[in-house]
Parts: sequence; C-alpha cells; structure tokens
Amino acid sequence: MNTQGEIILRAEALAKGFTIGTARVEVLCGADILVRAGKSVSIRGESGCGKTTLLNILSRMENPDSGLLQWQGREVAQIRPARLARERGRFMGMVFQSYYLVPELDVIGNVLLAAKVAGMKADKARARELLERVGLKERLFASPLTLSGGERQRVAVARALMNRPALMLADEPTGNLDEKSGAVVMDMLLAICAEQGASLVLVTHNRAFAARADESLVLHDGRLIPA
Amino acid sequence: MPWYLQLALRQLFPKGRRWPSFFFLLSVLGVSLGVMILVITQSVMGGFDKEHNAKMIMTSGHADVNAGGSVMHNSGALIAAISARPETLAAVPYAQGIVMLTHGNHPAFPFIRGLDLSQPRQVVPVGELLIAGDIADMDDDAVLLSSRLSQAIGAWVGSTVEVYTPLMIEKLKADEVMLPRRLRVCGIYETGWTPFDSNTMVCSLPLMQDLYELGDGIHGISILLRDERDESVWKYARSLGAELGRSQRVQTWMDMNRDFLWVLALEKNMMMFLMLFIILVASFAIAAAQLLTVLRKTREIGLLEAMGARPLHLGLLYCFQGFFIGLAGTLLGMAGAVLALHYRDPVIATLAAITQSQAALEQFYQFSHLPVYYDPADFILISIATLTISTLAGLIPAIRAAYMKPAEALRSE
Repeated sequence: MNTQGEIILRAEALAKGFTIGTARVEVLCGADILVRAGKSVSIRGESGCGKTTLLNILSRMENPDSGLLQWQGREVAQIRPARLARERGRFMGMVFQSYYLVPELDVIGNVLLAAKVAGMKADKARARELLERVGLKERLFASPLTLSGGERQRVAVARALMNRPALMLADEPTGNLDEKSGAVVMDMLLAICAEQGASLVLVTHNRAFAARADESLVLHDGRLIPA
Repeated sequence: MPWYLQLALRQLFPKGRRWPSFFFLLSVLGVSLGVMILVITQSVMGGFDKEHNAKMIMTSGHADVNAGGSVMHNSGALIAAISARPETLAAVPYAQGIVMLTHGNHPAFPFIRGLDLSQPRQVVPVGELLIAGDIADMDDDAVLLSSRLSQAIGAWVGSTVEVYTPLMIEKLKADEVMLPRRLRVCGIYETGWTPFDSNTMVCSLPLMQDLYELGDGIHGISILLRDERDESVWKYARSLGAELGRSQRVQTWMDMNRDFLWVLALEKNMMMFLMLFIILVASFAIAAAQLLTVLRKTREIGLLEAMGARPLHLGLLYCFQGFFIGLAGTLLGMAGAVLALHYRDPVIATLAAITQSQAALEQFYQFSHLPVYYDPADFILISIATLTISTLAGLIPAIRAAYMKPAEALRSE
C-alpha cells in the first residue's frame, strides 16, 4: 500500500514527434503530469492529439524524444531494458479500449495471466475476489468470446488490478461500450481503484467521466493543461 | 507450468473446442507424413539389411579363421581348440578355389568350396538349402550346384559334370595329359543370396583337397557362434585372434563383407538424408502457419508485452508451438508407419495383383514378403531431426513476436 501523497508518477517536459513521409509532427511538446498515491487524473483531448501516445510513454511502451519520467520516484530511463517489461507489469495495470482478452483462456485464466506474465504468484483467491468484485462470479470459467462488451471490459479491469499495481492506466475504457455499460464499467473502475489504493490515469472523451477524477487535464498542442 | 507453455498449448488446443486449430492440424499432418515415410523407408531398408546379414552369416558363418589364402596343415588341434570354446556352436574346416566346370558344351568357372560334411553341426546348412536332390547321396565323387549355375550349364540332379582345376592346367602346360574329373550332381541348392546362388558349387572336403592336391591342408575354418549379436562376434574374434597370434587371421562376417555392408549403410543413410527433405518441406508449413498466428495475434502479443512479458518468453511461446507440432507429427507419423508396415503384406499383394508383378518381385528382390526391422536408433534419430527442424521452423515467427514493439503491436489493425 502506498502512502497517501506519495508521488507515484512524475513526467516532466515529455516530447515526442513522428516523421510521416517528409513531414515532422510533434505530438507532445513538454507535457507534464504528476500523479499521487490513490488519486485519479483524467486526460481529455481531441482525437489524434496524442493521448494514447502519452499513455504509451507513461508506461514506457514507447520512448519519449526527451523529458523525465519517474515511477515511484525512480527514473525509468535508469531501468535496464531487460527488466523494464517486468517492472512495468508489477508497477502498473492497463485497461484498453479493445479489452484485449486472450480468447484461448477462460475468464479466470485471463486474470491470472497478468500475474504469471509479470513473474508474480498466480493467486487464484485474489483473481476470484476481483472477478467477484466486478460482478463476474458466475462466469469464472467462461470463454471471453461468450461475454458481452461490458463484461469483457470488467474482466480487463480485474486483470489490470491482479498484481496490486500502484498505478492504473486506462485508455478509453468505455470507448467501445454503450452508455449504460460504460457507466457501470467506469463506476467499477473508480471504486475498485479507490478500494485497492491504486492511482488512476484515465484517458477519455467523456466529459462526465473525466469530471469524476480528482484532477482533470486536457491535452492540447502537445501540453497537458488543467481542464 | 510456465505461462508461455500454458498459453502455447491453449493456442494449439483452444478451450471449449472439440478440434485443435486448422493450421495446427495441417502442420501436424505435413510433419506426420514426412515422419511416416522416413520410418517406413528406414524400417524396410533395415529389414533388407537384416535379411542380407542373415544370408551372409548363413553362407559364411559368424567368423572365419584362415591363413590369408595360404594352406593350413595339421589343423586338427586348432579345430578342436576352437570347437572347445564355450561360445562356439560349430567349427567346420573348408578348402576353396576356382575350377572350370563343363556340362556338355556349357562351360562355367564357378567358385568351389569343399566342406567337411562329417561334422555333426554344419556352418552352412547345405542340406536345408537343397531345392533338388538329397544330401545323403553326397560322397567324394559328387557335387552340389547353386541354382543359377545349374541353370547356366543345364545340369540337374543326376547329371555328370567335368571339372578342371588350375593344377591340371599347369600340368597341361608341361605336356602332361590330364583328364577332367567327372563328378555327379547330387543336389541343387538355393540360399536367396545372389552372390552365393549365382556361380558356386559345394563338394566334400576330401574331394576339394584331392582336386587342389592339398593333402590334409585346408584354407580355413568357418565358425558359427551361439551368441550372434555383433558385439559378441567382435569380442569373440578379438579374443580368438589374440590367442592364435599372427600365424592365423580371424575375420568376422562383417570384416568379410565390409564393402557390401558399407554400401548398404550408405544407401540407408542416403535414403534418410533425402527423405529428411520431406520434413523440411513440412517445416515450411509450420513456419507459415506460425507466422500467420503471430500476425493474427499481434495485438495479443502487444498486450503480453504491456503486462510484462519478456522477449525470450514470447519467443518460447511460438518456438514451443513449433516443437509441439513436431512432437505430435512425430508420434502420429510413427504410429502411422508402424500400422502401415503391419499391414504391408496385404498392401503389397494387392498392388502386385493389380500390376501383375508378384513374380517379378520374387525374382528380383528374392523376398516373398517385405522384410521390416525396427531399429530404435532410427526412431531416435528421426525424432531428434524432426523435433529440431520443427522447433527451428517456429523460430522465425518466434523472433518476430519477441522483437515486436508493444505500442506498435497494440496499434496494429
């Protein structure tokens, strides 16, 4: 459990650009973000403004061109590349718009996979507890292919929380869901993150969902500004 | 079980589906067909080898003591000593050479071997090999002809043949008048071993000693052993050779037929080498199917990387699938091969009946049924080769998966 007020994620002056053909597009130009333990931060922005790129950089799935990134006070650039993936798997959980469940595994298998891949103990009791918490107690051994979109996203939330991450990154978690299912998932995400003491960085288009975070930011012209 | 092995098995055998994936079945089928052909080829070649080996032993014994072509005199004590060894089943002295044989207008130059037919246990079971005549009629004025020799000169049981030896020809040079030795054909033998059946004849040892003027001399002693395993034969030859010293040479049947055995081994190895290309072709099917899986699973691979999967484990995920396809193909192929070989005779009989080639099969191959020998070494070698090739086939997709960038993989369409 992290101490209240401890800085979980710090990013300063992040810059990232892409070369498309002969043109150079600067997506991030000095983006700063600070996330404290147990707090949630929402990020909104126009389509294509670089929100997913920002999350990829915060999770270090993509390298920034420049800038500082710290996970719990530890500079990410100092982590050896061979250890980076495992460190990421233990430090943060991720929820994506498209769920990305493994169709060959059952529901509980998908949740346990997060622990196994990160080299942690595959605690079945915790997986059951999380799935019970997201309302899927009866579907533990169901194939993800038989679940509705909302149910799939709830499995993805349980999976992201399996390793007791200090930070959750959610990229448009309700983007593929109808309004009702989206609201259920969002309620659950916020509530469980609060229960588990996990900080949350939420990328969403939905103003109402964004407003429920402790801090709301907008990505505009490559910078994060208060909403 | 590590997660990558568990996931590899799940991808090959998805939960809730009765059948494994189509690509898996296709790849396994390709490998199993290759393995099946390899096992069948190697086992049939092994069977032919065993048949050949049995014929070689039947016509020359397990071991041979000789003086390198020189005549050995006073060999009674030596024969008794060899016979007294517990490993020895039979030790029969012989004398041999080449003669000119005529029957009517038909000459031939066969290899003749004089055997001590008084020995209770023979090395070459001539009596059992007769297709005409009776061994009981054999005396010092009679000979046995090989089947093809009898055909070549038109002699049969009861015919009289005339024999000229090289010594007679030497005497002719000295203007001596030499009459050929007239001998009665009392039997025709056939071993199924072409070199022995084509141009040989057998007589008694005293007759051969008389023809070659050897006195009590012999050219060697054929030995039959109780334990006919190769290593026992080698051990026996080494021990007897050490006991006899340099005056006599001890050869095993493998020494005597070294060139022929080398050709057989080369033939078998070449078949194995050529047939391995079938497995190689099948490995392309594995590589293509696995590559397709990797492309299909790109976003899943991105997710695994996002969750902390190491490149090595992602690589192993697909390498293991290649290995498992190889394993399933190997087991299936071997089972199929054993099954096919079990029913080989009805299959061949049907094919021969359709093509009307039964007579040709027996004439040219001399085997009434297809011989098969399952050599564990062949099975081990085929398994290792197949598993290695299959695993390597999974390596290309594995490397692709291992080096995917997670963000790009997740973004892929």
